[in-house]
Amino acid sequence: MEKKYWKGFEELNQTEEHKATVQNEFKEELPIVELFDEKFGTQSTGRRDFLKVMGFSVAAATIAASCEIPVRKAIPYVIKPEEVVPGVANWYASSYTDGGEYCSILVKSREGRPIKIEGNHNSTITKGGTSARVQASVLSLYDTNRSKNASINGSEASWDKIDAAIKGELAKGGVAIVTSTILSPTTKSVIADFIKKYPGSKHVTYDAQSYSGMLSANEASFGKYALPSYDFSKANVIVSFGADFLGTWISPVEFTKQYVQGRKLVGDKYEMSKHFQVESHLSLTGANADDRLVIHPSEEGLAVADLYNALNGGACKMPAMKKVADALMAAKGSSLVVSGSNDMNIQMVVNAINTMLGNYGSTLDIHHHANYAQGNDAEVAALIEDLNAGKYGTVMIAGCNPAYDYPTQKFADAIKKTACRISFNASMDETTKLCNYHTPDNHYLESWNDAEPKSGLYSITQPVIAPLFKTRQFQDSLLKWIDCPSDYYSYLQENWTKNILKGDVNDWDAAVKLGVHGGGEEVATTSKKEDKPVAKADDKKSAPKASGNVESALAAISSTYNGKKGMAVVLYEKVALGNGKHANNPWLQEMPDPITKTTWDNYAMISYATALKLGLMDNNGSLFSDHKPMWDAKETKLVNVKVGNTTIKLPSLVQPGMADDTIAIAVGYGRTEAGKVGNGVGSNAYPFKTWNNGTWIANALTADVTATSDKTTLAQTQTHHSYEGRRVIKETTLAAHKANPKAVNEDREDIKAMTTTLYGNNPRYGEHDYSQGLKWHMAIDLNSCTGCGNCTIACQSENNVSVVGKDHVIRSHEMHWIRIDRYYSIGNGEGGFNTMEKNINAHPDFQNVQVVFQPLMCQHCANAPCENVCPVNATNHSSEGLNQMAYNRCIGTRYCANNCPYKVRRFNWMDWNGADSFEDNMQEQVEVLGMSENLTRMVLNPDVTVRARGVIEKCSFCVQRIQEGKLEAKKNNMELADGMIRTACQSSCPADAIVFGNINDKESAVRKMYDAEDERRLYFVIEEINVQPSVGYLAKVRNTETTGTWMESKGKHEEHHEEKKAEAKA
Amino acid sequence: MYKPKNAVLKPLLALFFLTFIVTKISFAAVDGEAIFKNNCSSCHKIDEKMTGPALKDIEKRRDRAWIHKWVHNSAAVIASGDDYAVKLFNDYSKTQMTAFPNLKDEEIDGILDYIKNWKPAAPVAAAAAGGAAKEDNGDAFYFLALLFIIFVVVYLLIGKVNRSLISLVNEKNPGVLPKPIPLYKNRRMLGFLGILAVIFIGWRAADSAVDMGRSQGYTPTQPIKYSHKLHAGAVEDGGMAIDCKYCHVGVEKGKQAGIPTVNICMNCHKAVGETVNGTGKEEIAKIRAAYESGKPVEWIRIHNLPDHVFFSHAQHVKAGGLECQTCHGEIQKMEVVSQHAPLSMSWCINCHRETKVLFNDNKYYAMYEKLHQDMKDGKIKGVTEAMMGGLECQKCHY
Repeated sequence: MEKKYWKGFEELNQTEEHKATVQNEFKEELPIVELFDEKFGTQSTGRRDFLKVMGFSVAAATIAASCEIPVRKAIPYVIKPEEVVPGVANWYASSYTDGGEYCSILVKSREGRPIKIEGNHNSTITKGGTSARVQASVLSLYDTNRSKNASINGSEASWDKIDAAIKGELAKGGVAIVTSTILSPTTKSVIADFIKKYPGSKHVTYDAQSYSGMLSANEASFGKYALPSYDFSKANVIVSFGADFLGTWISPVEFTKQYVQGRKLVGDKYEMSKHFQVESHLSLTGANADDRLVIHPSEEGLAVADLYNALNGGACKMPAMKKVADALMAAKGSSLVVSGSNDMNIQMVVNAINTMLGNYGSTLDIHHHANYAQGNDAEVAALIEDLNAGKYGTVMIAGCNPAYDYPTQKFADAIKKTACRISFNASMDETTKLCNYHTPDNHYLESWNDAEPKSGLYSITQPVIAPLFKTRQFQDSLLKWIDCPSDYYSYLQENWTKNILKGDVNDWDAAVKLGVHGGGEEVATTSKKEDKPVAKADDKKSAPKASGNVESALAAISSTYNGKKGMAVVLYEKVALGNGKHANNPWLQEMPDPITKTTWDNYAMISYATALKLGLMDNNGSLFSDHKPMWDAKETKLVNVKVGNTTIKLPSLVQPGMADDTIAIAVGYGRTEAGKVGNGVGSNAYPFKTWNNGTWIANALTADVTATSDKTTLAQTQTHHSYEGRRVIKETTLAAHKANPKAVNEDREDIKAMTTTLYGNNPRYGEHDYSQGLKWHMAIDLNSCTGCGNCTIACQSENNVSVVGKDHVIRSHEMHWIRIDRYYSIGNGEGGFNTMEKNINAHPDFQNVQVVFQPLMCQHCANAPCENVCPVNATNHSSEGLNQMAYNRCIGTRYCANNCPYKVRRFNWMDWNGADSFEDNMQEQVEVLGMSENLTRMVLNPDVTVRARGVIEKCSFCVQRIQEGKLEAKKNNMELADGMIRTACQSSCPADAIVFGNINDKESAVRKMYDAEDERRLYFVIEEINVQPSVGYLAKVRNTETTGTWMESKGKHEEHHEEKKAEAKA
Repeated sequence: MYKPKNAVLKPLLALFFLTFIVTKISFAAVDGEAIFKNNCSSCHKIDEKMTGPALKDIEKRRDRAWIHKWVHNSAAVIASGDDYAVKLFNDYSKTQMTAFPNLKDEEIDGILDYIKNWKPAAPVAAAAAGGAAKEDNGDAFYFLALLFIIFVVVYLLIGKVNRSLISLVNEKNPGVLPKPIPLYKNRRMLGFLGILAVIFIGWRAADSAVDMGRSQGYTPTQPIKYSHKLHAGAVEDGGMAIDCKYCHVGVEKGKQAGIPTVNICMNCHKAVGETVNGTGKEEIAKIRAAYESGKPVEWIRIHNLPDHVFFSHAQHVKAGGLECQTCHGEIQKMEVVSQHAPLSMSWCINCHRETKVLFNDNKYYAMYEKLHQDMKDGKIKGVTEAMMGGLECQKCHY
């Protein structure tokens, strides 16, 4: 039986507006009319209009024709750096660190310009994966908003002058150094030296996303203020209480790499980990869970306590927890329970649960702790008191922005009381505005640094470009101010040689080359690692036991979490934008959120039932009759959310998977000093954090939410590019798949019988003989894809994909070549293709939806419908199976886009990159995105054409990489090996969900996957229309009992059902 | 402009030169000569003093063992205090000879043998070849011009005869024949000329529209009057026959062959301040000035491809084994470089259609099993780029 998949309520409901949108893909004419005044063409004096146009054309033609070919210069280096060959990229190993975020990377540099970031496979932590933020960090380097020089009170000052002034200030009294988490041991050593030189100084770590409750819990349990190392790959049962570990929690890239290892069905393996998610808003991790339980935020602690009780054989209030406990007990020692809460008591209980399950030593390792979070909320609070008391003469801010992201105004008020305020932040942000000295730090791509993401694992950050502006590295500034004779590079090298490499000088070069240290691993060799004293003299072999008073923690939980389901607010970070530090990065702003598919905004996510209750939608008994629910008009009502004394007005967004009476709001928005891209995007939700037990908790259990009559439009891409209800997703359950692996593909037999062979030669394209040479194919495993959206940004970076801004996203003009479609489904599909209204009536609440992600790019059809309709043959087929796009032939009829069944073709409505504009004549909406400025354009990949206005573009399978790989093989007189050519999306994917290669090569990974899965999970999207796509998908497999939802096992619904049963009996 | 005669002659000429160049190169494949030209000739001549001393009769001055040591590491020999070496060092304004640690002893011996057997050659072959080519070219032009003149003369003669005959008839029988209309009033003639004019103007307009942006023959004046003929020209032509790749280092590695950076120029011009004739001082001074000031030389780019064209030198030179001259013309004979090829798409495509790739020599092509089979069966003689999709859009445009 078919399940119904839908992207949004408008699609499920088939609203008139939605139907119109789908049928009329390009509603607009080309905006030529803007050239003339409004009255143009409407007046009777047609002759004058004619003369106007005539005059313009003649003048334009004359100017164009009289132009001589411009003289172009070829300017070589004076002294060429030995390693640079013009036109050939150099790759440097480095490390991305941003606060506690870590990723081992390779930086692609062209003629000295870093243009692309890839994962570093030498790393044992991130293993070649990247995140969207890592991919986008290269654009931040060329951010025009970066401070270009040091300044005193806002006016430029030379470094000499500023050094002298600051040294004078430092002599006056103690210094408070406020930084975000520092992964670098050498930086910490510099800070220690600084504190030694200026006694009475203190280093306080402040993180916007606080883990300090969790760290305190670990301190109480294990005597160590640190995070453990997690290994999700070893966990057969994973239970997460609101921890979005695939999206935003601690180290998502690392966790995704581990997580998918347990999810992949390779060969004849029919085993998968089982993932339970208990949460109140739909997170990326929740969307990937096998079973998901929706709870109200006030039940968060109770759920954890319930699980603890269930594991101890006690009674539990939520029957579902019993089920979870059973699953965990069955997987003792290879399970993992995590919680995203910053409540110390909850984390204490989680520690106790993991200890009880024997997970320490297998999926958890506290001996080799992780350094990703070191912030301490209590210390920051104490610092505020100290600053108010005037204890410090100087306050230094590095890498954090408390004036914006500290939940209260207290921090901003407190630092104003210090005489000398120094900010190292890269731009004039909210906190820097409050400082009198601004000594901007280098971008990490301009810096030397190191990192110790986990204890004993080291890596190096090396600069790939000289500082673009007159900035100076944070560490160098500190060294200068303590009169240290060496610069930070020498300091770093010395520290490494002495303390990390233990005197082996040759290792330094090797470490720089690899980016990570020690035989291709971050491990500083095993023996050295063992040398390190482990905090507390725990026996390394035996698993540690969580100590600390669990009973008092449980008691505290039951007093905090009462289960009274009043209106509550949950704060979360978005996968793209995180804590808001990179709000000025247009790539991240425009990346559709993996769940809501919304760009350029934050909003109040509200459940369906609550939206009705609040009157956010009209409801006179019948939801979808003659009324216009808010999404019809694509306009949403704004709501006032009030917590304590703070009120924020936000657009509302009705979101499946939300708990009732819960508002989820993303932090990281509402910046006021982020720069021209990020200013005023969304609203700041940090003030909604609540102080509890010495930590900041990212929710508020009591809130007041009222609807207003104001409306706004969200730039949501979820129903752009519609399939009009065609079936594109295939999924099954693990049990069903195991019982009959061929069941998923039974219907393909008919399709195959109707079409020609799968890899064969289509007679229509007879001139191409695909049976020899190259034929490119891709395979995407829907079971591995977590939907994180990293590939979208990787592709954007590789292929010069334009940013279009909020207004144009609303008009479906977004340009991403690879999009990730997110489908909801409800029920087990027993109703088949029933009418939409019936579907909705059958499911009165949308809390329990299942989610499937499907990355979609040009499918490179062998029988491509787009090619047939192009009047100028601008798009045609290559002998290697590529659907080629020749931009210079394209005249912009957009017939191809209309005819594409997958809706993957993008039209350039504007000159987004400033490629062909007259100078100073840029479209206003283009200019505001900052992508057309000379500095920003340095990020463009010189091997990919920057598309002009009026042409269609789409995924090329990274043809520039294909050509480069082929040439590399030819130059070296070798056969083209599988893996030499990797597309940008493929190589960036932390889940390794994408495989790409030559299908004619019997040894290629893609061919092997096709052969192995042809009868099992491999399918092609809308294969039945015989377009013969080159991208195969592997069906999604859920490790759950039914394809339906898990709602039956949930307490509330169980009661509900029992009531119903009782009614039925009666 | 499209000239019919060129369509026939140019490829012929190109082919002729190509054969010439190829034969020259196959001559040069003799061990010692090639090594000498690649490694030594930029600083040494055999019979003349250049950056380094003339090498004629070198073996009378030093024995082979000493020369081996010197070539491998001249600095070491000087440092050892060898009298001859120190004197040499001082005589040549204290510049050291580049060390060639990679040259094997046998290779050095090969060079020495080549020097020993070297005789000042009269550039007979080249002169003869050039002359023949010119003659060829001239013949056709003169032949056509002659034909044209004969045609005009015949036309005028017939017209004259005709008019004479008419006037004779008119004299005898006035009124039998109408009065002859002068040519400029002849409507048929005017109509015919009109059509001709329209066709001609239309053809020219279309032709130049197609040619817009192309610049075959573009010969800009460069900031430094650099002569490829002097540097890369054959020794017989008074050149130094420096290998192209010595300066254009990127040609086998990347997209761009690369305009030589100043530090490459300075490898020689640190020592060489003028030509043997004492000319070029000013131009060389410009390089030195650039080197000292760190201000790069702003050369004018001659070969401009549109931005949407991807072209890789490495692909054509390293993987394809093409000679520079195939596209750049006889660069080694150009005093001032001009654009030889039209660099039009049809020109590219044509070569992709006609030129055979190194199909059997490069393992990359092993995957084209059918083509290999066809070749074995004698169905095809060679494989062109076009047979493997070399005409497709995204081979060059992406």
